[in-house]
Amino acid sequence: MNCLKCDENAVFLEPTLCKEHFISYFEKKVKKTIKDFKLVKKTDRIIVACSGGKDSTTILYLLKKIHGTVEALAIDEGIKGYRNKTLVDLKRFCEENKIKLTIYSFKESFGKTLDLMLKKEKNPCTICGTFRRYLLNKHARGYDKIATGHNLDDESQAIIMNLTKANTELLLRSVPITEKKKGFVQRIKPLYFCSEKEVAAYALLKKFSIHFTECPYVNKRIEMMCEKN
Amino acid sequence: MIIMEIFIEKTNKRIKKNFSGIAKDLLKILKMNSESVLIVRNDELITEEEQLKNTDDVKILSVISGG
Repeated sequence: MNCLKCDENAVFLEPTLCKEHFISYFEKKVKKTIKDFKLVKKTDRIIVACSGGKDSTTILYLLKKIHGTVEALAIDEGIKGYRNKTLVDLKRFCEENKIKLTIYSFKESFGKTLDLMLKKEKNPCTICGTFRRYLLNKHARGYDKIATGHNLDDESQAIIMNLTKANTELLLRSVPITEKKKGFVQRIKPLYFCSEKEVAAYALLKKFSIHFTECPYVNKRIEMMCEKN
Repeated sequence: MIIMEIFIEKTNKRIKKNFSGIAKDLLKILKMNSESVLIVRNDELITEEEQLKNTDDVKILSVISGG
């Protein structure tokens, strides 16, 4: 199947584009989100919440390309066999792209890794998310914006979950930029309109050295959601 | 007989299949949703409409990171 814009073979179906045109389409979409929602000002000091996965690595790369200077902030929750691997990828990426990286861990901050915390608790994502957001906000103070790799799939999932729970407060946070609030660093989501598959394709085509793996607690989260409903 | 080797990154496993046909049919056989994976043939990203041969080196990457 050929690209809609040239005679090259398509690498992506919706939209049907070749490598070169897909990269251009993706970058334009991210730039449009940044411009339309005024995510970034020229003078902003931006830190990117990174995991070493495809989404945050993509936004780290693109914000450096578009904005110039960015820094990376990572949280090591202590998920054996998963986070240690993605952090190796992140360290390598930051070294290659000359980006300052700071890592804080659950173990140093709270005395326990996530793996140990979950021996007594059932819901992995609630525990992990709460502690991770706390550390990200704490260590992003002093910066104007914190960028996260939330994509269209993440946001759609959050909207559906919060609609079913009738949680209007969280529902209103599903936006490309959060409101200014005392004690909280403003969050921006430049991948807001990019699907998970588009982000993965971009990361692959740009040859980012990352693992396409899932968090081992994903299935436990789905089990919890099924039990509740 | 040459048998296709398929690497599935999500499970970090390499499987062998006697397959020749369109990539989306391979995904059906493997019970995979085309929306949640990328298909790489001989180190190049391809769409699920592409033809695969037994001699191809195929990788299937999960796009869901959940992290």
